[in-house]
Amino acid sequence: MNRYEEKDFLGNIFRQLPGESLPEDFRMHMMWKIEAEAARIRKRNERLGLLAVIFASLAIITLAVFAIIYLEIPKITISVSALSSLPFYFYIGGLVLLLLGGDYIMRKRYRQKHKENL
Amino acid sequence: MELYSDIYYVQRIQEGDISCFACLIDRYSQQVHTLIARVVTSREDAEELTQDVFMKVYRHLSSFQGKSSFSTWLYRIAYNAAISEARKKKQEFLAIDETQIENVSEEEIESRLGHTDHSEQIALLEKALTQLSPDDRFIILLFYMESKSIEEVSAITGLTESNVKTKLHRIRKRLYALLMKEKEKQL
Repeated sequence: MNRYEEKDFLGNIFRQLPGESLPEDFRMHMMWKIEAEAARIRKRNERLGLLAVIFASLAIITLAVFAIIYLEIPKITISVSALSSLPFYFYIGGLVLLLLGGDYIMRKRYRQKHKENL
Repeated sequence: MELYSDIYYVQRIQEGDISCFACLIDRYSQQVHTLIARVVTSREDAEELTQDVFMKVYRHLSSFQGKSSFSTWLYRIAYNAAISEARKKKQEFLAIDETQIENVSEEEIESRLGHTDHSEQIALLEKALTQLSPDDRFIILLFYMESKSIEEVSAITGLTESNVKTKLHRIRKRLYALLMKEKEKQL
C-alpha cells in the first residue's frame, strides 16, 4: 500500500476502476505460443551447436593440413630400407591370417561335433 | 502450486519446465492487460500487446538475474511496450493550461465529486484518464491501481524517485483539473 492511497480521494476512485478482462482461452493460446517458441529456440540452439562443431572441425583440419604441408610438423619420412622389408611383413601377415582361418574352421568343427553328441 | 514465489517459477522455467510459465500468466496477465488496455485504449491492440509482453518475458527470461523483483521486470517490459505502441499511434491528449492546474485543489475536487455516486465518479475518472499522456497514465495507474511504491514506479519507468514524486504530483493536479472540466461539462 503506498503513501497516498489510504486517505487519497483519487485513490478511492482508482480502486473502484473495473479491470479489463482477457478472453478465457488467453492462457491456453499463450502457452501454445510459448511451446512453439521453446521448440524454435531448441532447434536454433541445436543448429548453432552443429555449426559450432562443423566450424571447429574445419578449423582443426585446416590447422593440421597447414602444419603438415607448410610447417612440416611432424616430419614424416619413408626410408628405402623400410620398403625393402615389405615382403617379409606381408609374409608374416599372411601367416597370421592363415592361422586365424585354421582356428576358425577347427572351432566350427568342434562345436558341430559337440552338438551332435548332445 | 499457486503458493510458490515468482522466483521459484522463474528458476523452474530457466531449467526447462515450460509449464510453470502458465502460473506466471495466471498471476499477472489480468493486471498487465488492464494496464496496457488503459494506455493504448484499443481492446484488440491491448490483447495483442499483452501477448507480446509475455512472449518477450519468455524470450528474455534466461537473462533475468533477479536484480529487481520479477513483477518489476515484467511491468518494465509492459511499460516500454505500451508506451512505444501509444507513441506509434500518436494518440491525442488534452493540453491543459498550467494556471488551471494550479487552481484546483484536492479539497475542492472532493467537495464537488464527493456527493456524486460511484459509477459517475468512475465514468468521470475514465474520461479524464484518456486525456492524459500515455506516460502519465501508466505512472498514475501503477501508483494507484497496482499499488506500486515510488521506488517500484521508479524502477519500472527508469525515472529517478524524485522525478516520480514530482510527476505524480503534477499528474494528480492535472487529473483534478480534468475531472473538474468533465464535471462542469455535465452541468
